[in-house]
Amino acid sequence: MSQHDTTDDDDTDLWIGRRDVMKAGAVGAVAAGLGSSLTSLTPLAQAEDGRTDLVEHTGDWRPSTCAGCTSWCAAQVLVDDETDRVLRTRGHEDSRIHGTNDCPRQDLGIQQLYDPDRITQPMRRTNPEKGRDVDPEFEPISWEEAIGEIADRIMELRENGEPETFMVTRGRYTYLRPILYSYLPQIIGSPNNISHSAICAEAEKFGPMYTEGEWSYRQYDVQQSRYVLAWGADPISANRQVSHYSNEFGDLLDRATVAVVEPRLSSTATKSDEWLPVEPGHDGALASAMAHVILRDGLWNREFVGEFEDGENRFVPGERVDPETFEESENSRGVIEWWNEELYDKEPEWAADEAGVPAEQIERVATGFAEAGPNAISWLGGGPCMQVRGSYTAMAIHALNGLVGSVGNRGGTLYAPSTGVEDLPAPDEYVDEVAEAGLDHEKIDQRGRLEFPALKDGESGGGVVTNNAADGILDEDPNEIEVLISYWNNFAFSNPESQRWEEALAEIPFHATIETHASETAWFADVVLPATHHQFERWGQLRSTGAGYRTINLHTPVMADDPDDPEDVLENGRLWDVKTDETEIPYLLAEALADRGFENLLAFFETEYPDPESGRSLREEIPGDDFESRELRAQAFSRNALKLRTRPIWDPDYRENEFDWPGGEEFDDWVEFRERGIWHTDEWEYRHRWPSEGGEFDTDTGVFEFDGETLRNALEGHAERHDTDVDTVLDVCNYQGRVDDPDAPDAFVPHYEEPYDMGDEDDYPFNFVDYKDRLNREGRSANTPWAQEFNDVNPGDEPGKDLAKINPRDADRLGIEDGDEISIRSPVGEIESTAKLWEGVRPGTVAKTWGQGHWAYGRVASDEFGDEARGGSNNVVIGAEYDRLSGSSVFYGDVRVDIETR
Amino acid sequence: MSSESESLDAELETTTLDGEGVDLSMVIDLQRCTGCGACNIGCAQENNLQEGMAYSSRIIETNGEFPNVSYEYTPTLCNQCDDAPCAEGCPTSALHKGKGGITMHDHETCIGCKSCMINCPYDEIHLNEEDPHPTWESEEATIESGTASARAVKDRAGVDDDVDAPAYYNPNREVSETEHPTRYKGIVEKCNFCVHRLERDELPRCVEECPCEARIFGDRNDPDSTVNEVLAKYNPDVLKADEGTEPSVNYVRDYNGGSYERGTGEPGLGD
Amino acid sequence: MSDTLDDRIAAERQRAETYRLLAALFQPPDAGGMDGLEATTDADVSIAVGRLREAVPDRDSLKLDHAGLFVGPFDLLAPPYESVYVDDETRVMTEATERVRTEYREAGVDIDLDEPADHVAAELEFTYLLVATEVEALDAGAFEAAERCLERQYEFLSAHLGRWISELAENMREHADTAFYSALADEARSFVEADGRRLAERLERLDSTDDDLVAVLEGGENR
Repeated sequence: MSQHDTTDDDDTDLWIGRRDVMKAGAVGAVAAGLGSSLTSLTPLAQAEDGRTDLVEHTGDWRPSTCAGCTSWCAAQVLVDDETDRVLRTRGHEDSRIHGTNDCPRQDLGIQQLYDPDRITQPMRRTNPEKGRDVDPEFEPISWEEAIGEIADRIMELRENGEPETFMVTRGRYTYLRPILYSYLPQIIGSPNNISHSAICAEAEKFGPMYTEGEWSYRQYDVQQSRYVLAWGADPISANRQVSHYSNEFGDLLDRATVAVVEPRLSSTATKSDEWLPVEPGHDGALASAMAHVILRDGLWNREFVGEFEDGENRFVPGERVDPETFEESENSRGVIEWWNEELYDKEPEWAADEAGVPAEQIERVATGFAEAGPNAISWLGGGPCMQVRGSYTAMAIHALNGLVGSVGNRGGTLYAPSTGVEDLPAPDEYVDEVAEAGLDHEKIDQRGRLEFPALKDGESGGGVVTNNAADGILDEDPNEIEVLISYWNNFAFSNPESQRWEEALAEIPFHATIETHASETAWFADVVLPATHHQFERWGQLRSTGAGYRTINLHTPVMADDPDDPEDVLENGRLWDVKTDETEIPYLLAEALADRGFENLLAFFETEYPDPESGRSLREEIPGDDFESRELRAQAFSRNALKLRTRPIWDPDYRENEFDWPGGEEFDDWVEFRERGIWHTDEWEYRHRWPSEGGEFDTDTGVFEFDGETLRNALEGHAERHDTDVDTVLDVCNYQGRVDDPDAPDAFVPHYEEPYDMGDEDDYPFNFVDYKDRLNREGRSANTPWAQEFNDVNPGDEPGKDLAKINPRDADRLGIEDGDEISIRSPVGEIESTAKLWEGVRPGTVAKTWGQGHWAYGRVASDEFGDEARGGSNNVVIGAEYDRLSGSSVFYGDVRVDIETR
Repeated sequence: MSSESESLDAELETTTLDGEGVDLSMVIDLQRCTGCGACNIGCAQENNLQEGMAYSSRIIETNGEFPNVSYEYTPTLCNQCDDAPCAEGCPTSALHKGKGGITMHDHETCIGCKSCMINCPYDEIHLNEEDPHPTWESEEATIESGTASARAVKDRAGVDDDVDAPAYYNPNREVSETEHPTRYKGIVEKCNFCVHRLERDELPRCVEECPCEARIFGDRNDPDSTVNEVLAKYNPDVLKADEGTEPSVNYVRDYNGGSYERGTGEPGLGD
Repeated sequence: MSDTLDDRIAAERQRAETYRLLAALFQPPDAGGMDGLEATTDADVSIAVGRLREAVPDRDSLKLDHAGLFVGPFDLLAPPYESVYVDDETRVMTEATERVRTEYREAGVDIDLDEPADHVAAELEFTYLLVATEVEALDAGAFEAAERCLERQYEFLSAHLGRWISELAENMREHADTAFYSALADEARSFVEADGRRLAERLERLDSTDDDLVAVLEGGENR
């Protein structure tokens, strides 16, 4: 068959090649040429392969971090390359902790970013009056004006020699926080930097601190565990690595027994093998009884705890043990003391009476837990310890890990391996005399006073007592607060007995707040500075812990193409005229203060925060005195700070020669690191802290303590500071423990204390069970439609509603029906709610999800912005009480309420 | 993470729409599901759904009496029934069985008669009573000259006036010659197994989104698919089996994983 | 040679026109297809237009018959959809429909009726387009391309239109009230089937002999 060459050049374009003719080009063109004579078909415009009408949007997955809770999952954000819109977010594929798996809250960040209720530029209050029912009458002002006003106020304080009346409150932060939270107040001269930590879960840290010497949160080796005993912890729903634990949970159920101690049927409890529906405030009884069972039945871990010299188990119920008969392991001490002082008579039957959990369940769980040891986890959550007497419960629960030898061990409770981040340059040389004088004042939260030991890291007054700052302000004790800068917090909503904060904030003459929305706190502010959204619009650094690792993960300005270019970031990297709380704003403030004659802050930034790669200072990189140049420098400052912080990770020279490198991944330059956005430590080495393996625990004794020896030192230190004794301290702080009282629990060993009732049982017959919304982003997601629409992920809740869940037996007795409008009343406040009858609630309790009740923030979060709340805020009925040994606010266990139909 | 994600990715390569006789199926492993709702949110974002239109939804049941209470969360979606009453009863064949066994909906042919909604035993078809996302039309600011407005956000994000969708809408959803990221007043819509993603060799959004890796997706006519592997290993259930619609969505194991014999991964009495 | 080529092209054009006319005649009578019938001579197409013209009844009867056969609303007496004959007699909009639509789209066209893509009018019109493309290729001297067009036409007929045209025709003959639709059934079926056979022969000849395309196209004249 001879082939004929094409001859007519004009028409041959369509016919090039055998295959081409069947591309749409030919037939489609013919069809187009025929036009109206076609009656059934129509030509496609520009059809190429039949799918070109699919406008293919492509985009980049850019690294960042979700800060919806402190799981702090490394993330990747999809930015559409045509419009630079953020389309999606997911877990970071390179994360060994969770990979692309992210819990539902990460996606809510997108609705936050594009929320129409976001503040787009600075505002100033024009109504001099401040109050819940008072409209601030905000007007727009420029950044220059706003910063200028703050600078004026600060100058005034310093000129009057009262810099200690300046205050900074911190909420959601990154590890660039020292700049705004520590160094700025330090240079100004105020000791009043107040963090939110005590309304987080600070009491949780008390347990591991006064047993193994570590004041921090833990990670749990679920992949190797055979028993998980969760106390108020809800790992598939809430902190502290929800993505990882959710991903593991299905497998965990196959290989392990999961038991949950919790007054209500939590998410984790719905899927567990055992639910121990403890009466609120009585967790400590269960912990003691379980420890009792473990010792009684000889189930403790010999290697970690020790053994009776003749091998005979002398842990007999009701009988004390002669310490001489027991040889302690080199890894721990004090188990005999613990038995003798507390556990010996804490039998399961007794605990069943106290705590409302059947004795045989206590036996079964304790036995199963210990038999699975050392691959067993006693998982301490906030529930059992954010109570008035919670510190001791925290110790008891964590001590169970010691009994089974799971501390730092395979399948047990771990910490974080060391990270390769550098401390930010500190301002010591920039603190003048005025500032020194100011710093030498007591803090406004009164930590360290007799009634607020706050024994963080063993130190009297070492930890914050967040909620008490309101009282300090109201009582002007130790001094007035004249100027407040608050950032990424909403203390007027998030603190228990939040109404006090409304009063306190109204008292402060000048308040500047840095946030994304006009929250309840902003309602009282004089100046509102709109903040960048942490997940998408700023530089920052966080860290995530799980699966045996810790990662260092970055926030990056994902919408900018070149995030290292300040101009690109300012123009494209954020939706509105917003700025980063921790870096850009302090920088602009530094410039404004220098304008007014106080140059220390600016000198500090200019000298100590060059770009470590180029060596250029900020002014060298971007000269100019106009405000726009300052804004660019402020953004460069943000970048430099992050580079300095993470330098060991990406700068090989620095890593090798100037830093004590702990190991972990290594990057060769900054761009390589920030394009990936995540770095891993080496894996946790099991048992490396065990003295028997050549390690050491950070307690005063170097070993794991069952007898509270380090706590003794801390308490005695605090007592000494106040010229008194430990018993007085404990009495003033509302604990039952005493040093040498046979009728009281021992002050130092982990022990059970009866709940401290916040309200008379007769007047307030119900225990209020608060817990955080599974879709909560630290109080910020209530304005997102998705969080409202899908909130029935909280067991017992219904979409879009704020329900108070009551056991049907109680409801029946009270004549309350499903859907009835009720009021919930406590000694400090009252809220309105709707009743839901649900069997997952312990009789005698009312369970209500925390997160609703906003009356500001935005249109979705409130029923009418500035006016009417949507639902009821739990904090209105939770009184301001404290677990004073840790400084924590009380949310659980002791809160008593009454309910009735409206 | 489990190796599930790797096998799911491998699954993608063998699961294409264009093959003849592809029978797409989803299996939901209830033991892995933690009832977190990430699937629902992901689906809403992928398909630009407004409130109340959730394709991916849930059935929640609490049974028993304190303290012997059981709570079950069952993720739901269109079952892509082999014998679909919605398609059968559709007068214009807007609803019809398409590639891969997906029950497709051609919204240009839909007349909004709602017969499908009546016929569907699972309530998985949703009617647009109005053009979607009306709140995104608003020009009102909560604080004048202080906060943004819906319109302002869309402008800033470069989203056209005529797009009835939020500023973060997904442009890849149901695209034709002119973009149609959402549906409109008077027609119904429903889950279509993310056919717009399948055509790009991506798994349905809910499958990809689930952080617990509880959803398995693939071709039942491929003997080597993970879907078949899982279905062979456990006893699958479908919703309302007695309706005879032959759903393509199967459920295995039990949400209350606690009823399992530990360490074996084998079903306990409940399965 | 070019005379022969011109003849061949004319013959192919006639084929194309035949498909086009048939497509139009399956549409509702009001859609304008009947005018086309009026304007067509025997020389233009390969079917007996005269016979068809004679069989046309009054407008109303025509519309009624068309509706009853092809439109419904309920039982279609002669469902004009491939899916019914190829997939499931109770189902429209099946995989077959999708396959046909894909073919259209890959070629750069799409269905423009308020009907599934596998409607007989659309399939006929698509075949018309394929033949018209062949004609253009021949006009441009792109013989390789024209050969490919022939292959394409054969593929489409054997995978689609050709598979069900005779069953459709049978339904029409059985249920048509008017002589017109009976006649249309006959003409459509015999033309399509013959065309399909002829295509098969041509392709076989191209494959197994040394004959060139022009030679192979011989025999495409009006029968």
